[in-house]
Amino acid sequence: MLSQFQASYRRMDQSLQRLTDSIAAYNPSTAAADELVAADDALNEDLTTLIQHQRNVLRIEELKRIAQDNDDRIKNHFRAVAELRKELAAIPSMNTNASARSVSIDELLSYARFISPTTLPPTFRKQDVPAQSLSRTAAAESQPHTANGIATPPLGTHDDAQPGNTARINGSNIGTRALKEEEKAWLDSVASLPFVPWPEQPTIANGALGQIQLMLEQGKDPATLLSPAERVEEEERRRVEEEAERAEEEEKRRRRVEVFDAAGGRKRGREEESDVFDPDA
Amino acid sequence: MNPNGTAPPSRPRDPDFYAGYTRFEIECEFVQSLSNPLYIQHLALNKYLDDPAFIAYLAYLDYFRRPEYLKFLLYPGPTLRALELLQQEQFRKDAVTPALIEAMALEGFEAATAGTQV
Repeated sequence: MLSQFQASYRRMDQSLQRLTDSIAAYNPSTAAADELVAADDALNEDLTTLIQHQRNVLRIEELKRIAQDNDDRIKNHFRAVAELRKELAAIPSMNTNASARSVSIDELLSYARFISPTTLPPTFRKQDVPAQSLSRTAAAESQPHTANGIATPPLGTHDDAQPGNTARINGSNIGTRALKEEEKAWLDSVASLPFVPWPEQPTIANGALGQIQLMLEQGKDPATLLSPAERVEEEERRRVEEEAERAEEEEKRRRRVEVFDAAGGRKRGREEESDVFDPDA
Repeated sequence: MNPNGTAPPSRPRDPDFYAGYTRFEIECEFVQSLSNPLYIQHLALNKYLDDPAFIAYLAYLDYFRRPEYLKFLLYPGPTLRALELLQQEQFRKDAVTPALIEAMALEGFEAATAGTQV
């Protein structure tokens, strides 16, 4: 670039010099003037080229800057991704080797619903329940008994079947409020928790085992109650027996008719038999 | 079948059916009633826990731990805990003491309410 400029400058310089020489020699040559004009044009062209060149340099600089910015941005993104990955890996993972059983969500939810009434009453608040069991104050009695899904009836029901159980107290029972504090504490054992996560004694007594106990006490043998399959068998047997009886009766009738026919032919042809004594037979 | 039981049964008694209930129903009810500490105390006081056949039966009832049977339990937590405790001889011996029964009841209660806020 520079050498090109220098060449055009020199050319310019030379032509100017030639022209001035020719003018000084009183021999102005138009050729020299033309030469000068041409040199000037050439110089202008070079200047344009220079401007273009400079612009290009600036553009290159700008592009370089943009490229650098993009590189920096990409580097930052990569750094962020790497950090996130590190964070993800740092999250403590579940120990999956304990139970490899997969349960469907529906099953899980339906089982949760199944257990929920017997796991906790809906309006349970832990601060209502005092920690100690023996020293119960009156405040503990006013807990939401209605929320208890398994209501405890008053004393005296089905207790003869379970002599080992201690007596139950329902807080809203009028009789207990009349009791003195220490008597209440004496009767208030583990039984008076307003909600318990297990079946209460009346619930057990109304179940299958309780019914069996009742039957035994009434003297009925529980084994006489037949299962459905056995019942079907029993019915079949009865039907077969009845049919056998009917068949026997038919046989007897037929035999009687035969004997009757063999004994005297007078009544032959008559299908009906008669028990009335016929003196003429 | 005669109601007074004098006639011999025409077939052997069905082992899975008794008094109008299936064996599974009866066993399910029994194992869940074990979750009540007072019932365990009652069994202990009536010397049921000293009978090796009874103890073997309790060990047999451990099948309720399996998922296909577990889903029938209404009180799974206390039931399985009771089954576990009843396998320990020391527990069976101490089950007559009211203090242990009360502690067990408290433990069950605390376990059930553990997730709630104070």
